[in-house]
Amino acid sequence: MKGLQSKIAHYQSLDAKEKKAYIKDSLINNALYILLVIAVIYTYTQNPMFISSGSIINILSLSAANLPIALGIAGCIVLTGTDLSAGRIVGLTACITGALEQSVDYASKMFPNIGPVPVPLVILLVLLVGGIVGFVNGFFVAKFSLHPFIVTLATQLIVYGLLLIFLTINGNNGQPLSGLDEGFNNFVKGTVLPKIGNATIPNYIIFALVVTVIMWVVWNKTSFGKNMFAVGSNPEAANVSGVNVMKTIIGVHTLAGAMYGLTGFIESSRIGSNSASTGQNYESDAIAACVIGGVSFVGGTGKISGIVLGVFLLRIIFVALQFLAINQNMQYIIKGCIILIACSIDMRKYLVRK
Amino acid sequence: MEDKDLNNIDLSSAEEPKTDEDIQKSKRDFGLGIYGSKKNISLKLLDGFIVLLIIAIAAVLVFFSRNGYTVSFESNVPGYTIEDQNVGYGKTVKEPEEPVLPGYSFDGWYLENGYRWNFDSDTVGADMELEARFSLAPEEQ
Repeated sequence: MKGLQSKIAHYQSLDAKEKKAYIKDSLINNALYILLVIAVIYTYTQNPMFISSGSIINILSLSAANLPIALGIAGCIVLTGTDLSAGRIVGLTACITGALEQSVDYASKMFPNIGPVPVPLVILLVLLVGGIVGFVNGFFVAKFSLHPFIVTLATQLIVYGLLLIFLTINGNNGQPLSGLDEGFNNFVKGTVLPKIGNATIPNYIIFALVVTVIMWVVWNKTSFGKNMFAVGSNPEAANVSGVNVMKTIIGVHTLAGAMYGLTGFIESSRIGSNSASTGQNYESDAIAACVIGGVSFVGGTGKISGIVLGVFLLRIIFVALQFLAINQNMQYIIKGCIILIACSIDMRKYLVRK
Repeated sequence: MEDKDLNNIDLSSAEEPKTDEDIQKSKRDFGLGIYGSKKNISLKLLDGFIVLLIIAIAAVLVFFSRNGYTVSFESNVPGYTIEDQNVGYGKTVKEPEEPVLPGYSFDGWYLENGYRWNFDSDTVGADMELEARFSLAPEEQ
């Protein structure tokens, strides 16, 4: 509220020419939000079901499923890096979860001798697997000063290979893993909250909420979080002011990996039938959401609230595209354009600030 | 977290003053920093580009939107065709009549990826083709 008042006061102090420039700047900086409003209104006029409780909870659920991966990747972007391995780590951990949580009576069970493994154990395992890959990413980036783009490209391929090998275990021959245990599905997709209209609120929305709060604390209230921003702004300056740059970079990547693991855990139940294509290109949506949410590729800037907003905005547009039954191929083009707009706006803010 | 300008960071504690070039170099040394020189970027062009893309996306939304997705069926029975259905997003598909192939029993309708379509609960989110699958009828084996 205070921010708004000071903005209005600032606006009133400008002369006519400056006012015009200010409006233009505001319009362009918020171009994606304007697009969002257009999309929502247009979709609603075409199909009023778009703004129904079911549809809104669908958007919320899809956003919640994509939130952990975005929160993880955001840390890498704050370090002016990126993480291309995110999607494949989601795929690997989703398939590991799927394999361990198949119900006992499912015919083509991957591990026939292991019943559904206790859920907390599986969560620990996926956090560990994701964390290990993240650690490897961070180690190579920090220790050998390699660009995260190329390091994570390499681990993306390695993880994909491991995933394909994993799917051949016990003669599974690459078949999708389905027939998940009821108890596990209830834990993730079930609900403890009351129904809204006809729609149920799945538990993984609560998971996403918890993860968001944890990440907010890590980013804003811990020295690790502050070090992350310092390293992202200027690693050299952070180094001379006593920040352990290497430890910070490795830590951020490991934490990101754990987040992908958690996303994999949720996706496993949400999708229900996981194959090697699970998680493919998830990183592109996550990176786009971060950039839309103001996590700048210039480094050192970003807010958890921005990321949450970015994930929502992207999801609302994607669901609108589906409601409008826009051709799948065209949807990819639009996604690409949205990413271009987001990073152009990011660049623009950077130029103007200078 | 407040936005920080790369060039305004206090480096007084450093052993030697850092120039802009040094900082750029240090960012490169860390494998970071994709934005190089900012001098030659035209803000006007960038703005025009952003506006153009927004207009293009809005136009695509308006001109490429359809009433629903096309669901087509491949019966795998010569001479037996099933009409396509137009199904809105999130709606279920109406189950077509089972195709009959002498000597085989009908297994169900499958997606290309091997998923057996459940007409009661599965909803449509894309154009798709459902293919009939058969297995040898027991008495014929």
